[in-house]
Order: sequence, then structure tokens, then C-alpha cells
Amino acid sequence: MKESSYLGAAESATQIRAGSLSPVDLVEICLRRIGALDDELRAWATIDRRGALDTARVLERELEERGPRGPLHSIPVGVKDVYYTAGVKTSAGSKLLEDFVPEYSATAVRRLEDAGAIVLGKTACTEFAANDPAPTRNPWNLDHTPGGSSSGSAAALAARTCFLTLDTQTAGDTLRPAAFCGVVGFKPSYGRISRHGTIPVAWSLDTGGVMGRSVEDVALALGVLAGHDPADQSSSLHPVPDYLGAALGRSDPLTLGLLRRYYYDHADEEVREHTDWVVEQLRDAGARIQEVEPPEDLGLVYAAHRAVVFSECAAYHQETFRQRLEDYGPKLRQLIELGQVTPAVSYIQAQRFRRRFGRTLGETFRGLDALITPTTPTTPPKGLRTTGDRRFQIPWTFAGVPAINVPSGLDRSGLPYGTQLVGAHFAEDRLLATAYWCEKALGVDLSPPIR
Amino acid sequence: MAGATKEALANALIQQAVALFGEERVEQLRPSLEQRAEQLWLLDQAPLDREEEPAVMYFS
Repeated sequence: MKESSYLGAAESATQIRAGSLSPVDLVEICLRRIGALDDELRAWATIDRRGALDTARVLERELEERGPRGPLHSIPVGVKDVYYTAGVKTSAGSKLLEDFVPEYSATAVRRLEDAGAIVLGKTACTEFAANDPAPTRNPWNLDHTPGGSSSGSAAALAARTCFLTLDTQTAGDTLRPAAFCGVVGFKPSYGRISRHGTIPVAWSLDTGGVMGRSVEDVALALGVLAGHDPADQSSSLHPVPDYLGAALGRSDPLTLGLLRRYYYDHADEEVREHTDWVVEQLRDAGARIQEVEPPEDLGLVYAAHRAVVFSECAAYHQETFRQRLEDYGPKLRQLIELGQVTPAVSYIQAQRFRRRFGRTLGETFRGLDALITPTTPTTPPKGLRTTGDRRFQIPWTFAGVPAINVPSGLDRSGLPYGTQLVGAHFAEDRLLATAYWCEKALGVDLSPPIR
Repeated sequence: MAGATKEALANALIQQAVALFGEERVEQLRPSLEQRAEQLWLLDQAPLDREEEPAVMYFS
């Protein structure tokens, strides 16, 4: 029998419902692992030991008396420190918010709790989910970045200190750390997960995301998190299908569009070779792979994305930036300053171009289940001063379409590779089914060399 | 903006930055401002249909 910390969220939820795993024991296992590992990893910004154990006891009784509260009954989760959590500090990695304790929880956090999840605490992130790194280290090699901005989530999950994490993505904030730490990271369509009660980076790009140890786990979580929220102006009314059923239910062969242009231009040789290997494995397993061209110049997409992020981020921080300049990290300060001098016309042109990109990208998906690319140009770089290159994830956040990182191997120095799959707008069910198929075909199950 | 060269765009950004942040800070920012100007120039070159509207931010 697998040690409990090695189980996935779906498997743990099944064992808890069957009574073979205790909610209190599971939380205690996670807290013990956090105690043993987090002084070095620094994946957690705040740990709510008492709250998590109290909730586990309540859920244990509830299970005996009334049955499971929902599909995540007693699953310990981490929440990125940009989501409001009632009564639990929410600092977004910033001095400006070091004592901020929200009075209410974000809708996404409430949905997790309503489904029975236990919030263990807040995972560390870069300052305001921008570019100044979190103190978190990569569990595969402590000298390397875990990526960002959801640095703590990816490290916490890889180190098996929790079973799922709730994240956000504005550029590559969920997929890149997931790739660097060898876990599944999923960003659905813009508007799919409520961002009510989150600290923004750029309103028109910020998208709720989730990480887990398998595609099945993130499909389970999305089923809980997705759905309209009247409190979030960007929340979609699009119907919510059965993501888990869709993910596990597909058996017919896939058609994938391989994007070499731009991706192979910027990836290092090892990543290019690895992606070729992944493609061959999938082809051997029965997938049809056809090479496709990006519908727009992805360098231009990058430039347009930057204009939007810089402008919106500068607008959000305008007042506090004037009052507390000294409390901003150097990279966020620079980003805001560059946003302040970005012309309004450039911002609008970027948003007009974005609309066209979304439309032309939709045409690219005809006849394809998903696009396939490497998730990152390199495996996690050495050093903790940057969180790596975000350019491979940006096009899909900019277009507002779903994207997922599937762990796909290790490089010569034992650091994780990730493969990115991209789906059409609101086709999360199809993308998850594709990712599940690829995950099974690749048969890669990564666990870092920490005990 | 339309039709401006990269250099003209960079100069415009730098002048505005000097007015807002002072010369000393702009010297630190100069490489980033030049990179921004290059990106904005690229965006300026993108041929967009006159009827293309900005992306809709919100659904409701």
C-alpha cells in the first residue's frame, strides 16, 4: 500500500470516503512533512495548523454522521497567498500587506471548502505575483528556482506537503512553476474560475488555476472550482461539464498540433530533443501529430501582453506606489514605472490585437484536440533571483484559452521537463481528456529526491 | 505614435520617464525603457483591421 503522502487527491478522497484513511491523520501527515521540509523549501507563507486540524476533526465527524460534504472531502490543499482567506493572513509576498487578514474568503477558496477541502495554509508567491522572487526553493535541487509566481504551490505539491493547490496565472504563473517542479499545472479559460477575493496583477489577464499530482486530480478540482460567480465581473456563464468524467472517459486516438516555430527557436537543445522524444512516444501510442504554424507572430503576442500587464498593474498600484515606494521590490517597482509611461494608445492596440489573436487561434484548433509545445525553454535555471522565462506560456494566457503542463521527464541533471498542451476556448473537458491520454501514454511519474 | 521610429518611441518614453521619476532613476531604467520602446514599436507595426475592437474584458 502506498504511503498516504504519495497518494493523489482523487485516490485519497476515495480512501477517506471508504473509511480506510482518517482526515485527521492525513492532515497530520502533511503538517509533519511541512515541519520537516519547509525550513529549507520555504514553500509556505502561512500555515494554519490549528484551523486545519479543527476542520479535519469536524469533517471526520461529518463523514460518520452525514457522509462526504463533497468530492474533496478532507483533502488538504494549499492556497496561493493572493487569495483572500477569512481570518488567515494574506500578504501576496509583499511588505505592504504583511499584516493583512481578510474578513472574507475568495469565492474559489469557499468552493474548495464547500467541497470538503481542508486549507492547510497559504503558499508563498512572488511579490504581488509579479517578478520579485519568493524565498521558495526547488525540491528537485535547492539551488534552482521553482519558477513563479506560484512558487510555493509547485514546491509544496512536489514535496508532498499537500494534495492540490489553488493558483493564478497572468503570464505563466501556474504552468511554469508546475513544469519546473514536476507537477501538473492547469490554467483554464479566462473567466472559468472566479477571481473574486484575489489580489490582482492585471484584471483582464488574471486567471484562476490549479495544480495537482495528476491530470485526474486537477480535473477533480476544476469540477469544484468552475462556474459563474456574480461577484466577479469577468466570470463566465459558460456551462460547466463533468470534467472528471470527460478526462477519464476518452479512448479514441488524438490529433495534436505541434508548434515548432517560436518554441524551437527559443528552447535550448535539450528541451528540443526532449519534445521530439515526447512527440515520438505519443505517436507510437497512436496519436496523430501534425505540425502547425502559429496564427500570429508570437513575438508580437509577447509585446502586446507586456503592454497590457504593465499598464493594468501600474493602474492598480497607482495610489500605494506614490505613498509607499520604499516597500516595493525592485522588479515590481520597475514594472509599475514602465506601465506608467506606456501610452494609452499602445494599451488599446494591444487589446485590439488580442481580440484578433483569439479569433485566429480559434481557427488553428480546427481538427485538433490540442496544441503541443514544451512548457518552458529550459529546465529550471540555477539561482533564485529570477523565476525563469515566461514567454512559452504567455500566448495562451493572452488568448484566454486553457493550457496544462504535463510532467514529461528529467534532464541529465535530474531536473523536470514539462510538456504544454493548449486547448480551444472553454474546451477544458477536451483538453483534460487529451492531457490524461498523454499522461498515460508517457507513463512519467515524478517524485523529487527528498524524503 | 503611428509611424514613429523605434528611436523616436524610446526618446518619448525616456522624456516622460524623466518628468515622472527624475534623471537618476531613468539612467537605471534606460535599458528597460529601450526594450519597451522596441516592443511598443512592434505593436505599432501590427496591421489591424479598422473594425477590430479591443478584447472584451468582461462577460457580464
